[in-house]
Amino acid sequence: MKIIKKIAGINSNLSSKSFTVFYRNYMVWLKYYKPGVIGDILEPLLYLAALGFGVGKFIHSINGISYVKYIVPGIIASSSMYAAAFESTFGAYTRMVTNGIYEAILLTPVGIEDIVAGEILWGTAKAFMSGAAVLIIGTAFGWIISPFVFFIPVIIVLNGILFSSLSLLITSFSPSYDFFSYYFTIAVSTMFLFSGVFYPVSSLPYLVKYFVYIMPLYYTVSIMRMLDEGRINPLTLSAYLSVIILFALIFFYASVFFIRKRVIK
Amino acid sequence: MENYILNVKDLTKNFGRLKALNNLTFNIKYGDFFGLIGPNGAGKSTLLKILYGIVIPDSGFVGIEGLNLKYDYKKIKYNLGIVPQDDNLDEDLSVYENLLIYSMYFGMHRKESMKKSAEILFFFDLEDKKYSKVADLSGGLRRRLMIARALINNPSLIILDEPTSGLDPEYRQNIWGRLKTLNEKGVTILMSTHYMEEAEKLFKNMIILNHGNIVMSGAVNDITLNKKSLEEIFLDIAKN
Repeated sequence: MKIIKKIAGINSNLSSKSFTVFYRNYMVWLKYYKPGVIGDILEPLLYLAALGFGVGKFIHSINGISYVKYIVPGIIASSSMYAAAFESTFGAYTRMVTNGIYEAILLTPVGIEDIVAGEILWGTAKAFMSGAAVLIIGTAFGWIISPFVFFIPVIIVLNGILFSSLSLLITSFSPSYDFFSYYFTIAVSTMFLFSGVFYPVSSLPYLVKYFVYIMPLYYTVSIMRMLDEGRINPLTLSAYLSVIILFALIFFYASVFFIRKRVIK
Repeated sequence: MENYILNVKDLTKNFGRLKALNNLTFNIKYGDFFGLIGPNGAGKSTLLKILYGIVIPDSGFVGIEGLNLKYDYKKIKYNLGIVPQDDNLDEDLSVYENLLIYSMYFGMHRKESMKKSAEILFFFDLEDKKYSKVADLSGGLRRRLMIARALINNPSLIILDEPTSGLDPEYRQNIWGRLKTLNEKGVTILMSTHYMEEAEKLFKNMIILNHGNIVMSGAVNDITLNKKSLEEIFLDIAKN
């Protein structure tokens, strides 16, 4: 009951002011975007090229699909995860703790809910830039030919919301920048390596396979692969979408709660 | 109550065992230049942080322009200008961009923001620094920008937490002049300071805090009536 009341309170306080928080981050990004864009876009492309062409020489196909085509959906999902995670940890921590931006914003009619929502929107935008770059390259090279390709951007957005929310939640606890090493090593890298980006999860040992099902990235990689291969199972699709939305909502409300606790004494 | 822009009643805040504020009650009239003084740790900043919503009180009531801070904090902030003690200007943006983005937080339209920003830059003599990065400004200019930023929404009440702290006398005088002008224009000001000279020159009414309690309150002239100066009164209080 208490949780429902808190969620209702957060919902009623949410306003369009979150877009001004987004816009503030965008204004700052415009000043320094060049090195950031190169990192966000080039890195996933390097993975795609190195693994797709390098490892692809030895693994000709998985499930009847060439290796480079097989990893494209996973690279889209993982690159957008990384972009959202970096922005909503290091970027958000700098704004919240180092530069006191949250406190400055709170002196105005913008509330914590708006700040969190604005930060998640911004993290999602960064995720979209990164994921969309791989999608465009993948489509241009003919690695994605499914008619469902147009739905992939929607999943990139959902993935961005999911990982921005999760990362912001981690940031709300973080005592320093170093703390993010735990998150990136234990959570983000583990998801990157085990969520089916590079190989089918079914090939993993029995116990590990079940461990993968608690990883949010597994669901976005799976949906993107379904869309990419054009083999859509409506039941699985809706179940996986529900899991992603549920994860995102839990992380969003938890972020609002814990960031409020951190900023307002 | 209608003559008061701010009503504080039985306000209490504890940080663990530390009693930061103990049942504070006071009111501020419209148009007042109201001061808050007290030794370090007296509770000045805690009180101001409660008023601008960064600290939540344990109990008590705060009303601003007839609205309850607990429930209407977003509405209240539309009419509030706040200058916190710590500099939290947006380092990545220019002086002008700081004002523009801040006006957007208040929901102002771009044209209105640009007009108001130009007015404020003129009033604070910051026009030649319009496109400078905040990181390149001196301490005095940064404080001026902090106060300028707090005026972007045409507030009826401005809360300043030691705005001249650490500034040289020239910059301090400069800020005093601008605050006086604002008050003469009808803006109510609530300000804390640890400079007694500043308190005597600016404040009409004031409270003196010590250990979270109001130990003296009233018009500055009345408080200093029987003693030589505010500084002596302050030192007496600080000793206790």
